[in-house]
Amino acid sequence: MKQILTVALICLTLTAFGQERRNRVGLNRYIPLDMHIGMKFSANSYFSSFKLETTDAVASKISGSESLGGGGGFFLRRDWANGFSIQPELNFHFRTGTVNTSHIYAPDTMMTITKGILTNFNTVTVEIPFYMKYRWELIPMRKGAYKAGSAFSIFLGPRIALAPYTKRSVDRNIFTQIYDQDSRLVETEVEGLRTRFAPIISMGIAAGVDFELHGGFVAFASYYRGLTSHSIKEYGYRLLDNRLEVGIGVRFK
Amino acid sequence: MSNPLMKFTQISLALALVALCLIGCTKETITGTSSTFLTVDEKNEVLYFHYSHVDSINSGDAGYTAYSAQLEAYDSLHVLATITGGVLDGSNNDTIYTSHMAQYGILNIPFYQSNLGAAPFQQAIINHTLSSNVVANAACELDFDDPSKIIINTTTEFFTDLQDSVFLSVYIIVDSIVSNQAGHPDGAATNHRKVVADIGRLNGFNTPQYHGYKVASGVIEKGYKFNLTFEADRLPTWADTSLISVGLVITTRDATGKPIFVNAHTQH
Repeated sequence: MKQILTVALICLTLTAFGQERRNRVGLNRYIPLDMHIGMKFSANSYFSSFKLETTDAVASKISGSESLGGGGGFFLRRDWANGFSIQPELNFHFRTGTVNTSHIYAPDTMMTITKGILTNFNTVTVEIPFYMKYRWELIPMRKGAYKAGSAFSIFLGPRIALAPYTKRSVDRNIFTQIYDQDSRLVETEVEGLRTRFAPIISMGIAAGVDFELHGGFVAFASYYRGLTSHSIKEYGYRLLDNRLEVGIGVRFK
Repeated sequence: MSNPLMKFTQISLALALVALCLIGCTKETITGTSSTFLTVDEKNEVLYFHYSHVDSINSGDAGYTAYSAQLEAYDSLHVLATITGGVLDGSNNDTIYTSHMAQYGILNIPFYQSNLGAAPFQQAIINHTLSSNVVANAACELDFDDPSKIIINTTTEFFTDLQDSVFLSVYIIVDSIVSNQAGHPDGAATNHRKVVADIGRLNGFNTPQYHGYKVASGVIEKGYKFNLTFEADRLPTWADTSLISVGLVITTRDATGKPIFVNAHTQH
């Protein structure tokens, strides 16, 4: 709850920059004219690659799925010369998903253990991309067909993801065969296990395009590839992020 | 608020609602039906072995007296048993005696072993039961429907993560076997208290493991549990089932293969 309130407070605070920027009153008077602030929101499609760590299992498999998630946040664009800009952002993303692993262990000739683990997870990340951006202003290109400020951009940059809220619940189905005797342990939401799903910090790289209309409305699409796992390695697998973000935003004018 | 900002806010909220609805439908649950497990107490009990021999005068005298006193004080709390050598009313005690004497290098009797080590009983109680760390424990229920058999249904459960090979021993402990004991004033009518008379065996695996059957190995996660059913022959003289108990002993192994005590349990 504290984290949600903190996020809400930050969002409310930053929307103050949307008030009367063109008149340069209040907080906006301190922002240089070549610096632009805006907010954005995206729907995210996650399709992580699921990779098992090496174990002593004789057979293993992993599968998983992630639901449509979302994100939102703020960007700050600082223009350079010749259409180049830098654009750091502060975004919040949420995701849910499941990971299914199955291992067959045969530690002894009289013993076979088939272990199925189902992990449900949800994570909220605070993500800080630092993009290099190139903008094509459309006015010179189309000789007035677009109003001032319309631009097409491409951007690329690294991203750090912090996970202040992350949770997992684990179901397990363990089938034990010892000395020709069977027993099966089925548990939902196993208690006493570590509840954190994601590491505190992960990182990756993102690239994308956006299109800004004259009124400051922005539509964008970006692809994010995680370079480190967004699941804790000790759980026996790595989830490398693949994410498509499609969204809209507004640059405060 | 300017018009674009208003529109943006409206669209954002709509998209957020759609996303939240989709997220709410994602949780999966594992399927399957669990076996019926016995309730395993998360507690430590001490294993106390008294080694004796029916032909040893020391065993019938000082050993018998000392063991009887320990039984009076601790039998309701811990696992106490005598490992006796010699002929004892047809039970399998001598084989177990021989294997244990050899395994632990015991040369003189009476001999006392707490948690398979040399620590005094009271010290072992302090060390083991005051420790909050219960690694694993087992529970059992006995079935006497067949008058010639004892069926021992067990559940073993792990309470901490572990990476090791784990062994489970099932000792059949019979109280008050009447048989000869040198050095005891009752002679041939000596009442042998809480004697290891046999071990539980796994049906279909005929080689008895006197120091435990390997039941787990590798990475063992907290909460893992399994059932195993053992059986033992029941002699006609063991008619009173209330005098038959079972000592469950969980061990690992050191580098030389010697058993290292983990925990023990009996039905008190």
